[in-house]
Amino acid sequence: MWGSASPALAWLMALVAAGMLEITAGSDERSPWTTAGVILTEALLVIGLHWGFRSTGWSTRTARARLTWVLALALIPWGVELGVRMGLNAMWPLELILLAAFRNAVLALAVFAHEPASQRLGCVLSTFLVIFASALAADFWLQGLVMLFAILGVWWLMGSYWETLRGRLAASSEQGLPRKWAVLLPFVVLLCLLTLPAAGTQVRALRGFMPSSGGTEQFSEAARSGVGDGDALVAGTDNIRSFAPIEDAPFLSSHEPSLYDLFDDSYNEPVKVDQQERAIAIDKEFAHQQKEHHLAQSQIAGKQFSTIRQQGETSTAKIGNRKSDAVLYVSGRVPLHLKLQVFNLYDGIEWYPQPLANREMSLKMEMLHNRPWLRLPIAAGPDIYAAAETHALKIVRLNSNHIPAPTQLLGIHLDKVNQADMFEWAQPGVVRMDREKLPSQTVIHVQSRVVDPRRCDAGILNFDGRSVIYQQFGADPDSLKVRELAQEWTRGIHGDWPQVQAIVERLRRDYVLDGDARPPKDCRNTVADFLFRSRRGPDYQFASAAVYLVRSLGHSARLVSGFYADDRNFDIRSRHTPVFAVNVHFWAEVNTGSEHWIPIEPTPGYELLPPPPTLWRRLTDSAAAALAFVVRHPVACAALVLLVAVMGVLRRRLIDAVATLRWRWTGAADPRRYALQTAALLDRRFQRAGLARPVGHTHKRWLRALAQSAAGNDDALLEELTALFDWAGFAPAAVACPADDPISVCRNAERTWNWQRLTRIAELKRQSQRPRPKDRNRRSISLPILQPAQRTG
Amino acid sequence: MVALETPPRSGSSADLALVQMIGTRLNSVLRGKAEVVQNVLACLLARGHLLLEDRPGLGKTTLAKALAEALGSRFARVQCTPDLLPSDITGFNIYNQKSQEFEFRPGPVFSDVLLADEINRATPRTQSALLEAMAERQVTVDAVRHTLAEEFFVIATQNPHEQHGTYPLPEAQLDRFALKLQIGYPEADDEFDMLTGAIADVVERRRQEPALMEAQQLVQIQRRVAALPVAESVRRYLVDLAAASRKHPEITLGVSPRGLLTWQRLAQAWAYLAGRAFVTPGDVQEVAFPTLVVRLGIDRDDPRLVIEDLLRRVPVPTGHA
Repeated sequence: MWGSASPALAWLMALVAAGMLEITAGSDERSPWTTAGVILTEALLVIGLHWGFRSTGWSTRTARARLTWVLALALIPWGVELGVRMGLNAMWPLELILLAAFRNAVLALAVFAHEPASQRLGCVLSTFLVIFASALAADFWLQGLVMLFAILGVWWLMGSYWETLRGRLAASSEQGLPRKWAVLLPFVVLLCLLTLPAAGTQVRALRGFMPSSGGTEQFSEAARSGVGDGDALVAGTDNIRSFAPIEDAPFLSSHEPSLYDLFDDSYNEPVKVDQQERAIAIDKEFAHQQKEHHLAQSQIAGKQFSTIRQQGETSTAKIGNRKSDAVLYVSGRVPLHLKLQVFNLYDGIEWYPQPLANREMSLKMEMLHNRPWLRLPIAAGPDIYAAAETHALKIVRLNSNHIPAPTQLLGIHLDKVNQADMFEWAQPGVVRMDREKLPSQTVIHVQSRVVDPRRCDAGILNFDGRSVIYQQFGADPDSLKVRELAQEWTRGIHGDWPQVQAIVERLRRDYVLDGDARPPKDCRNTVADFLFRSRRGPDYQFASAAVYLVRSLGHSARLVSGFYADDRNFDIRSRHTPVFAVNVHFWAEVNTGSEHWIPIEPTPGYELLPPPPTLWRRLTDSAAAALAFVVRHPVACAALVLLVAVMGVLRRRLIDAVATLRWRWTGAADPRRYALQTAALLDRRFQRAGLARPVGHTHKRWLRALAQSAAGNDDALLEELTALFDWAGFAPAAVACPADDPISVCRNAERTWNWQRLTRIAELKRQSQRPRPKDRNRRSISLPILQPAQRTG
Repeated sequence: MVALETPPRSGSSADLALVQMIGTRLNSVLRGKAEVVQNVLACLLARGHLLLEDRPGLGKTTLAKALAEALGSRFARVQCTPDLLPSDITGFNIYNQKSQEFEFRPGPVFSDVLLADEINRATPRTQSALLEAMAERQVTVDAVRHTLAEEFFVIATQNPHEQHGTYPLPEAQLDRFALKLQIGYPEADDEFDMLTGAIADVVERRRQEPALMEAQQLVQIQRRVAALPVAESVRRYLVDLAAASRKHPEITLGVSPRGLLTWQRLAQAWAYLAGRAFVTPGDVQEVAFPTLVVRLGIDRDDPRLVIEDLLRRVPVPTGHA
């Protein structure tokens, strides 16, 4: 294909490098045949483009054109990623996007491998691509390809060396833009990155040579792998990052019953645990953590809940005695309602937990991406849900065997727990482990889905469920009053879901959340007391009232208790939300038929998790938030806009004022330096005033043109000033300064060519450039470089 | 243009004053053509040769004669015709029957100021002989080398409008001239003054005007001009201009290294005439057109526009950037 061996070798190196990236990117996602097809397509593309460009003559274009072509191809992955994110709400890992950009650049350079500069740059980039592509995966083929690349590289280096000796490459290489860029651009990029810490930004990418999507202390949905504090991190005791970053590290030896049964006699005698619980066998390789954990006890769930409570502060002693108050950490979107227990019967005072029915469907385990997932059976229902999403719950000291989970739970995953009988139903919709309590320091992944309100509003949501156990409602006068109240609130509202929403909105709007409010001890119906007398109360009163009001309309509803992962507690740095003891919360669920429950949040100050926003939605939300801010602070915003507008209009003048101040403050000790600074100041001032000195014009010529256009009479100053500029710029040191007082000449020039005068000249220039056919005598300041010296006869 | 009346700040003020006096005298015989005179002086000080391209009767010979007189130099004129032989210019050996030896009869090139009128009418062979003498400042006749005067200065003329029966100078020969100037018709007022002066037979009077400078003085001034410092940025600017001339789409033949050297020397001369002890980019631009128009191959009717565009493209060094 080419005259010498080096271009062919460079082409092969590029192909091997690109192939390695395809193997890395396609591992676990594409079949080997698909990957081979992609590599073959890339090879054919390079060959085709090479011949195409050569036949059309494009190949002989300038180095700048080739560089533009390479950069354009390298930018394509970013554009595709943007489109994918906007259109499909999906994303690629960052390192794959970067490597894809490098792959495109390498292949684009391979098209011009016959050109020495492109060939060398392509080989450097190929090496870079090979190093990082081979580090991202452990495919068998990669090892062989690395060796092949090394052989090709050594061969190419030898060939290049001999060709250089013969002067062939040197004679044909260009001393143009690409070589400079190839050397300078990485330094410029590195310099920019190094300056970021000075601005207070932590440069995570500099930890390695290549950014990665894992182990970056940042949560990324697109992360392929890596250690750090993503979903896989175990919650710490004092600090979320204080534990080993793998899920199974903390369960090795502890006084607490471990989820995992440790078979390791390589150390001392095993720590005797207080009690033995069910466990699964794990590999010996995990027996490297000897850290002990002393976990506190807390109450177990599963008893009735009274809506009449004692006065006084909430005790946290039962929760734990650690310094950290967090019960668990949530990694994922918040606010999140984590259900622990459901109640269905209400006697006016007490809520009774719903017993487990015999007809609960069996739990099944399935493998998904080599991970065991407990798949919960979901009956067919209305299409009102957003896409499923996963949260990681990092249990710190929750002494319950109920797995806290969102309402529409789809699956549960604990690392290496692959037996379905480790789980069982605790209550309808609530799963527990077949243990006395959840193992502390455990990461539980729960997959769930939320209701998309926009789909509910479309009118497709009507409640078909008419289960008696969720419609229990009293016949006492208080209950009847509650029913009348519900009917009053929903009068004129048609549809089940709009009625429920009306009740929730009314409760949130007209009632006050008061954690200290308590009903009287002789109260016979706490809901009626809350609705008609106190109109204030804790969250369980809101939830109880909501359930009772909804039931009064004939719908199925139940009370739910659990944790509320408050978005206000979200730790931006660790991307986790701690859940404290004070975050225990009550809310309600309404039944839409079969086993489909929708959470409702009647308590003001608490919010349900909205569906995952799309990129467009986030943009519109941001715009709406900005608009709301403007509406809330109209005067300040107007003043800010005015200030920005004024600064925008006068920006050039302001910048010039700052530059002039700086020029004045700089020392005038050296006349030559001062003259040069004055020349630079005037040059920039001309530029800002729209009268930039053309690159081919000397100061003298341009100042004269400006003076003529302004009809100024400052020839003497102009001569003196330009002589001074010439002396400062080009005279040897031995030549004396042409001006007696160069400082005053400079200052006089700065005053003469002031902003007002330049704006007048600029206006004249604009007027002269307007097409005015009848005005033949208009003045123009466009001065030719060469004066018309002679007229030819 | 740069005014001659600027007082010199460095170098020999007396020498500069002499040059200015020559300029004044030339201006008196070539009225209203101060810039042409300035270019002629720059060409003289740069040790270059001048090509005047214009119609007959515009004062070319008058200018050459006045310059020779002012310099106190020997003046010679050659009217180039197709039958002019190289030996008619360089000289030839003739057999002296009395001494029975060949003796060398020097040609007109052995003057100090030579006017080669209508050079494009001479045959290429003759042109080549003259141009070799211009470049080498020596002639070789019958294997004997004869050195010309150090201040040897050629003013060649050609008529651009009568091309019939002429032999246009090739680019390689044109490059040996430092400048190409056009005198052009004088303004009406200058013509009126000229007529007024002719009534008193000023031609006879001018012949009696004394020389203003000796040949040795001219050589010293030329050496001083050649030693005028040129800043690195200005030299780089010249190199950039030359490179741009070679890449310009409308220029088929760019500036040669010899042309670049001539350009720098002319800029030095221009700076000297301005009374400056150093060269500025402005000097380079001032002499750009007459320097480039003689040696660039330009595919356009008006070369001024192309040269303007060339100068516009290359950034001028400012000293502060």
